[in-house]
Amino acid sequence: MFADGISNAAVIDALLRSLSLSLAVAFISGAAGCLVAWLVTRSDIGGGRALSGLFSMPYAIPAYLLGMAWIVLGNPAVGAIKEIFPESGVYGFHGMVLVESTVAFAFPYLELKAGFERMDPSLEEAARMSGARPWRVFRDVSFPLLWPPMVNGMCLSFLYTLSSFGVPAMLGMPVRQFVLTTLIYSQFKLGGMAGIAAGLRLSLLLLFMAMLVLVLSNRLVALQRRRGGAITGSRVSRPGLVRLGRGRVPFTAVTWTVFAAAVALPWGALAFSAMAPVAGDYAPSAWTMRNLEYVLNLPEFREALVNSLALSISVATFVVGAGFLLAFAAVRRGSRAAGWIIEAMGVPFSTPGTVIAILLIFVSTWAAAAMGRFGLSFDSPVFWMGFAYALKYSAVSARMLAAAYRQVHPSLEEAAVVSGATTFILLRTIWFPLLSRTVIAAWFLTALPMFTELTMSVLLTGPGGATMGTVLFQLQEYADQPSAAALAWILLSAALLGAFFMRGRKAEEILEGR
Amino acid sequence: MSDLRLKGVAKRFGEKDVLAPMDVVVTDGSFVSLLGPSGCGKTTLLRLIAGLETPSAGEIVLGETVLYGPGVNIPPEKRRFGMVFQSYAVWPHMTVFENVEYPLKVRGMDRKRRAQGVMKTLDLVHMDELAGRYPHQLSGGQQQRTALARGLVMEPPVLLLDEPLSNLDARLRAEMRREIRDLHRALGITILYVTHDQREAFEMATKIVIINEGRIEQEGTPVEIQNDPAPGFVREFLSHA
Repeated sequence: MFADGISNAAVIDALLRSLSLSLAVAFISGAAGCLVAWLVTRSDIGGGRALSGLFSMPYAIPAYLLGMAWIVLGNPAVGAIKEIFPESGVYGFHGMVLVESTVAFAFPYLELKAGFERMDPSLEEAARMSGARPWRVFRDVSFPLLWPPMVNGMCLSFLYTLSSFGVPAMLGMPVRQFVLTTLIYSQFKLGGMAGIAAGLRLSLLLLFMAMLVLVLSNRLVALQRRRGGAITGSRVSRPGLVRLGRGRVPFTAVTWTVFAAAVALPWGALAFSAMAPVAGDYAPSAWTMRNLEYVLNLPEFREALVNSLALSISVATFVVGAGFLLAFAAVRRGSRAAGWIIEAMGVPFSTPGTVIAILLIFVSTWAAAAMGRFGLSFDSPVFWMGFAYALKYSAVSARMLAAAYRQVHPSLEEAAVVSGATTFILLRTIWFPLLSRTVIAAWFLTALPMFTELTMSVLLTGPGGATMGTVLFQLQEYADQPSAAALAWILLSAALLGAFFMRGRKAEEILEGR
Repeated sequence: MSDLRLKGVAKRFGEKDVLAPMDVVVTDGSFVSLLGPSGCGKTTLLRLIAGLETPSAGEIVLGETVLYGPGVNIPPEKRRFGMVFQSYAVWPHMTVFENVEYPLKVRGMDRKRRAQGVMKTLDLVHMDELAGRYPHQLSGGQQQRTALARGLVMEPPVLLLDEPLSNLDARLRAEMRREIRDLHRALGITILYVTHDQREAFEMATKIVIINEGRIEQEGTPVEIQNDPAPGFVREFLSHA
């Protein structure tokens, strides 16, 4: 029914795997996110403040880089800690759950952390004074009041996993376990219009699943807003931290260990692997810079670096600039059209990247044919990638900036208008300086994921259109582990550095941008 | 006799002394008001007693039981105090009845006795007819009465109140002052009441402890303080009535 060469059984198999993978990740990250959010906001866990920021870092890490790191660690042949994995190593369903959860964890965590921070702590303290132990307080008061953000966070984890391509491609495809996104990719790779047509039909299926979850998520956000007033603290009071007592040392140790295993371990694995002469030989005496040198001198790497830098810088600047003006028009000038455009940006943002790419392939094929009729030829993968990035990531900055405009008192603008400022001068001399911090944050939150984008790039790439993501993916596919690890290590280091500087931003601000 | 005694209780946050070591005695059946300007440390003192914060030094003893001291730190849920918060903290997902029932439920009382206890207490605060309502269907004053009933329902040795009237309008405040004072007289309970409002302290309390910048400036009955305010801060503070 889907196309020649692809059986219904294969589609159903991929669909079921997509659903069960996303569900498993949603539940695991929901439970873990809930526990950690509670520990860092409500208990006296050691280093709680530091952990609170650090645990939001996975949000900014491309999951496929962690996937590559886990291949170094859990490769069934030469994995550094392959003993802890079953026979297939990290490949397979369990590996995908592990790696996707590491990143998807951030959604329920950030949602709940914001929930705990907004909630009046007296509501929980009143229950403790009534005689309830911490666990009972959570069950009777915190959970009944905070389940909407928690379930919403789980929906976002679900959506994230459903849409993700890199991890299932690296950990699932080698053992012939397909999910919807990787099935679309493999159909597309078969080439020809039949492959694209099959990919499109599967994309619609993927889009349908995503929209179902999105509707649920939007309802929960609305419910949260309605309830917000009843549970928000009128004055900002510091909550009395729950003493973990004898549990404090083990809780602290386990939480820090989990963080180390989720972030530091993969980073270290890539570093070791990048310096190993061959996969599996990690002895320090044999360390070499050859892999790094090799990768840095690779012509594809040069091409990818130029493309990815140019794309992320130019598209992010364009998108943030447009968001700055649109948000101004929508919030400060009450423009309905601008408001509508910002709303509409949410659609591609929530649409799986695979679906966007497949649609754009259709559009680009059509455009090329149309222009061919006039004797013109236009076939630039970089252009279409830039187009795809702009579609996918424009919502982040527009929403962040709209929220920022809303927070500034109108009198600041009115004072400038009374002084004779025109709109242009107003934007340049008042709004831009006032919102510069948000503008910079929005720019980085937009540019960083573009720099390492894989899901759409891998479908849209073509001659001259290599990006960081596609080069890495190729190196990984050619099973050139040390070179792939070297490049992944550079990218992960950059992503971690970026994430580390963004960690101080309030959870709510990051969520607003999403 | 279950007097509440604080011996040398102090609190530091980092380098800052929020509360200098202080001794306070709340005798059984008395109504003690901790009075002072905002940020003076009075709420912190109340939270130390409740167990929601941990003192840096000192001892807190209720009757014969050490609540906090060397090697002892009883968690708030086991101190058995009732507490009323400034923000009411009435749970929005429970009815008035369920809110007030909660302390009894947590302590494992059977359903029938719970119902009796709840209705008796709701009757005391004139909320018996609104037992089935949810908080969002109540006025601020009614929410505060619910919180009061929840604090009273388990007949605590001491009822702790943290600025309970500051979110009410002037007329309701006057009404509630009268009612809380009447409740204290009728039930003979011990009350520790934090406020920045002199009027509340002088109208209701049997003893006032005036705190400024983490130190006790003066303590005594309302009459004693009115007749002989300590020179300096207290005189200055009381003149701004």
